Amino acid sequence: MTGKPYGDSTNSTSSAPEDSSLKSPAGSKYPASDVSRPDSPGGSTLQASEKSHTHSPAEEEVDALEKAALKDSIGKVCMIFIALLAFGLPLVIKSPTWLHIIILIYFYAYLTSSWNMVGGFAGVLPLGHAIFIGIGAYSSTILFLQYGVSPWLGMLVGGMLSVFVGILIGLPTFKMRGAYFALATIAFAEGFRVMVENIDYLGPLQINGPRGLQIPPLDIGLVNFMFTRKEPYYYIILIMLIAVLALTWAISRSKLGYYLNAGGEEPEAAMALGINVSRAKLVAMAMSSFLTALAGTFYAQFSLFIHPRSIISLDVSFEIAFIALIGGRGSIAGPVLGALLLRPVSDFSRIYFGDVLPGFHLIIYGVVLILVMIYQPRGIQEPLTRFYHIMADKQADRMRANRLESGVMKKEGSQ
Amino acid sequence: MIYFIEDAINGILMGSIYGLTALGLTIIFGVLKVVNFAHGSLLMVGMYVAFWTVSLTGLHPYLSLIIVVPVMYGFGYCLQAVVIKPIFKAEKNVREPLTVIIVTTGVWYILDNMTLLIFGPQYRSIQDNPLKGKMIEIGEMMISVPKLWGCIIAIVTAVGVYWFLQKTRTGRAIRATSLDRDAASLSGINQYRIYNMTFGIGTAIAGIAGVTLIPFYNIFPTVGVLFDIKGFIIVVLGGLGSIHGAIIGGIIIGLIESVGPQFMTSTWTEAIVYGLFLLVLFVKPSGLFGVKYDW
Amino acid sequence: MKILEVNNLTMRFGGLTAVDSLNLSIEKGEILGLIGPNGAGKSTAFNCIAGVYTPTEGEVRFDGQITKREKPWDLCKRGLARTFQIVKPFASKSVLYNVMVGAFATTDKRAEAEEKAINVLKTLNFEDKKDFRSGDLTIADRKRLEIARALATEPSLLLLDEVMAGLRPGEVDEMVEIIRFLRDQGVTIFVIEHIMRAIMALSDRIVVIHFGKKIAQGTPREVAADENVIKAYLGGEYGVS
Repeated sequence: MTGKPYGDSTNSTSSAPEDSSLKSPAGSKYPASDVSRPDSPGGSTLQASEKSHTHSPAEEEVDALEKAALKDSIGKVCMIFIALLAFGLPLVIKSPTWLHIIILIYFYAYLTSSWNMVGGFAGVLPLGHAIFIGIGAYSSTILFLQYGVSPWLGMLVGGMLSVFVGILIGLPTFKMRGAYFALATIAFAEGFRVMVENIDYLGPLQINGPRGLQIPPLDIGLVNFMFTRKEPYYYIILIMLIAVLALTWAISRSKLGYYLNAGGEEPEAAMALGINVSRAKLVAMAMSSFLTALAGTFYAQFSLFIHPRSIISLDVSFEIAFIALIGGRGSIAGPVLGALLLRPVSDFSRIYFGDVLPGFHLIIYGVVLILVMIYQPRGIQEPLTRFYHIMADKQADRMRANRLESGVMKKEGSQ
Repeated sequence: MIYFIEDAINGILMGSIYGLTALGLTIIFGVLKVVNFAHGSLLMVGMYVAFWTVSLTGLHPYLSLIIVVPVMYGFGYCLQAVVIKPIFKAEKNVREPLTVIIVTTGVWYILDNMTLLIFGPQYRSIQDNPLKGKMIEIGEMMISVPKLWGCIIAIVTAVGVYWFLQKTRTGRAIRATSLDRDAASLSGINQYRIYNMTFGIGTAIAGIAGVTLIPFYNIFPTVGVLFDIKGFIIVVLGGLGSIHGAIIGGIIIGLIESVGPQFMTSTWTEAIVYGLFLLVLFVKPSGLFGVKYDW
Repeated sequence: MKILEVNNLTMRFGGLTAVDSLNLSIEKGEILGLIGPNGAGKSTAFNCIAGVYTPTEGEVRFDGQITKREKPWDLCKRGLARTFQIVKPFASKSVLYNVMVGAFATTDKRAEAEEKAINVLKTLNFEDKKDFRSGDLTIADRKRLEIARALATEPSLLLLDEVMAGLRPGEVDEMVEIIRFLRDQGVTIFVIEHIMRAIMALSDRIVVIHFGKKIAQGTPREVAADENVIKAYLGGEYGVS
């Protein structure tokens, strides 16, 4: 550490009376407190440069760059592989029950990713997102049943309505502290459910109160968002999931993502850095409620029956939050990983133990929840990402070693 | 008119029992800064403990308190020490550890469904109930005796807890921790032991509430859910950590529920309760009686 | 030209008057020190200037414009940046991430923000730690991160709230040099400090407040000789440090 770009010795002369006492003993500019800390998570670049310490610094940098490029392409290959797997799955799995389970995994991964924009990035804990599922489902269904509007259009209407409601909820609640915010969102969702249950007609709109609405499966087809087989639903929700993941990725790298993270972690500091924290949160809330409402329409068309107690239920709101926390709040892969772990746990324990041991699946669910929170409070994405990085590093090293070897041989051959 | 007064009185009595449930919640909330979503389940556990104590020993329902209170205190203490404390330690630097909320929800799922597994889904009520259906007649009004006792027990408990927090050494340590856990730690208070004890006390109060309920309420695995959200609403209504706030908040909810149906469909009263809750949250988030950290 | 003018600033919390009709002004390119015993109202004055509190009375002019009703983020965009006495890093994020948050105040593009952040880190000789998790930094580095973040917003006036508290003597000297360097870059500096020898060495002028009231101002030499100041404050502490 020799470079000292600031403060030439010329301007360290001072007019103050205590000047002499300012001068420190020679060579103590950087005290022992500056020792590096390799234990910092996410410091993968550090580890990478430490490993190849046999090279000169310049070579090291080239090495690191080359390796980063290799790792990048490994990542791309993995993504393509996963995408192929996801799109090819219905060719292998024909059982409707299995497809149903997988569709619900995607559905929850989608919901949780949408939730993540507020609950993850903005650092609050909304526990009432079912209200947006309800708005989405009811908007498109009412429009479809009573006015023959295609659910695809109804989906957008529900989304817009949700944005409106989401901002209405966000305006007062984002000022609240953690626990209060969580309780307020519960109250909004539950209050909405009670209202839906008590209203049969809202003006000309038939809501049907506690009985819910049934969609008769008459006109099958893409326009009406209605299919007899599970595959179309599978592809629709898969595409929705990929879209929301891409959007999350883009946000996390954008100004908005930085602002949300900063505002969630240290609101005061964020404000001092030019961030209107409440506005950033409202933008996130608007996007989140819009996307959640789309899932509501999907669910309505998928099950062809909506019912206030099942669709605007606290259980759904909670499950979304659980999946996020277990997968890893505020991370992109977290919601998907969480859904992949939790959904099968509850589905299969329900299938296998449901008759013999009622409620057993929820016990397992609760135990998984507690164990993950105790041992991985940042969610399962953290150890998994670390594992992925180790594997990718190894693979990149191996590929580079191979390339170098063949390069050396070529050189020898040409001489 | 007479019915109105009768409903109002019964609402106040039932409401004070709601208040008693919320009392345990508000104390845990005030000290640990955590919404305990498992509180309804703890109430349910308390009801089952009381139920089996009464059924197996033939004690008078209210005498079962001698067993229920220490059992529930121990249960709560261990629950906090074993399950919740590790999360606090993992999230040491977080002011309001929201993950704890999720963990208490896990506890809720486990407790409710364990009970379902062990005791089955059926509704139970105590046999040879000396208080069953007992009423006092005042003029033409009928007042339920077990609810009256419940109200008395609720008030005695609230006064007792208040006295404990004000006058005893442990109580002062708990209050100190609730105000500033770091400062309390610095003055030699073991923060986690205080958390354990507070959780124990909160659970014991849920047990007391369970005892007051069993003479007139059915006992089943998901009975706690009915009191869960209601408890949160009361806590916010009355003011975070406020003891009399919890009781009065409970009475307000009890009144809305009992008098409301005279004016509207009873399901709408639920909406009114949520509306009131949100109104208080927006207008006066510290609650109706919440001087910030009033004890 | 005056970059900051504080006229008759008063801030009351209930019955407590934390800042009492404070007047002061800062010339462009100046380093002004604000000192006073604990609880004198220094941080409250800072919070009023930075838009965290709306003052009960009086006005603050930044760059000639009255700042009434302007929120901290508005002021930041106008070129007023600050650090916090109790450091508030975005602990789970890297140093670079932290500084980029500041850099986004002047740009919407990620690449540009990153470039600006790297430049700031370079000037502060901090680039080698850009990938460190900020929660893992030493206290000296966290203070430096506070400055880096504030600097990334490209301020014309920088409010520094006790950036030297808790540092070792060697680190204090380094911080003094950093602050001088920033001034040479054209940033006006308003600094609260407890470490006397540092603020005496650093400031062009010093304002002393006690119980929210200004009791003295002038060059470090004048202030150090002022009888009121010695009585109120320096008498005990000056000799010790």
